[in-house]
Amino acid sequence: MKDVMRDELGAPKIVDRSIFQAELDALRVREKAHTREGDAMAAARRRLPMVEVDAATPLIGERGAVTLLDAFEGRRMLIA
Amino acid sequence: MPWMLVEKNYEFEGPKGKVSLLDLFEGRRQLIVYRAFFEPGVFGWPEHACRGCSLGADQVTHLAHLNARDTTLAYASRAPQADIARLKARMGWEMPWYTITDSFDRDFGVDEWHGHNVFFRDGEHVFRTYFINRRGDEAMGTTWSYLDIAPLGRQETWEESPEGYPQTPPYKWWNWHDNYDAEASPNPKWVDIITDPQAAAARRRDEEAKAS
Repeated sequence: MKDVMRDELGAPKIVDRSIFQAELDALRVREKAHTREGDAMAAARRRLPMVEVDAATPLIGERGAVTLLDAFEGRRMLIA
Repeated sequence: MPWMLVEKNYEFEGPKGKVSLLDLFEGRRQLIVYRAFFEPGVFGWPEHACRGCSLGADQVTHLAHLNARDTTLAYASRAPQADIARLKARMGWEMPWYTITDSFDRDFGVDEWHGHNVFFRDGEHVFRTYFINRRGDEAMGTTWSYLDIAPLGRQETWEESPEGYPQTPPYKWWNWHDNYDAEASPNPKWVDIITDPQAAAARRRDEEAKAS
């Protein structure tokens, strides 16, 4: 087998399907912990306090002057 | 992660006929294949692909950024090419999308549920380097989400990678999606701005002051 790339890169070892799966399963445990921590942080984010801002803050849109409130387009959440 | 040699010669149908797994790389070293459910029996057929897969397809980054890091993203389904072509046109999707013709889906854990398989090519040899499905799959779509599951990563200098992996500084290789081909090496002015943004801004102000 031509091994140029692996020599050049010092790439990981080549294994059979069962070892690959076992390594993947082991990594998955850490990935799941990461996902659950991300979910917990998102939950904390949803409980963050809020700061009231001036809804009349002026913006210029494609059709002229609008307010920050207009930028919601009637929805409750806005990411700007 | 260790790599797994792919020994079977998988065959796909592409827009121009039969292609191999090796062909899917389009000459690049890294390949990410997403199995999307689009075939008879799937809810929405034949007008639409599976809703979850379609939502995923909607959030795929501009492929030029992945290609610039030696990475090809491809979608694969069981639907014939004619249906795939129609679907892509209808939904405005531009990723390469192949038809699975053999046991590729079963062999790579995507026969019953969607998922991303990652492959690396060394000459004519193909290795499977990673697989993600279920929770984890839905987060895919940004340039960084794809590069982070690829064996070479983002290929940026801050990453902790094995010795010898290709790496260049962050920001400097980034380009407009329509300008990668035109500008093979980083534009010096862009590099200057990125290397020291404050100094570059000061120089720009000086130049503007002189010009006015």
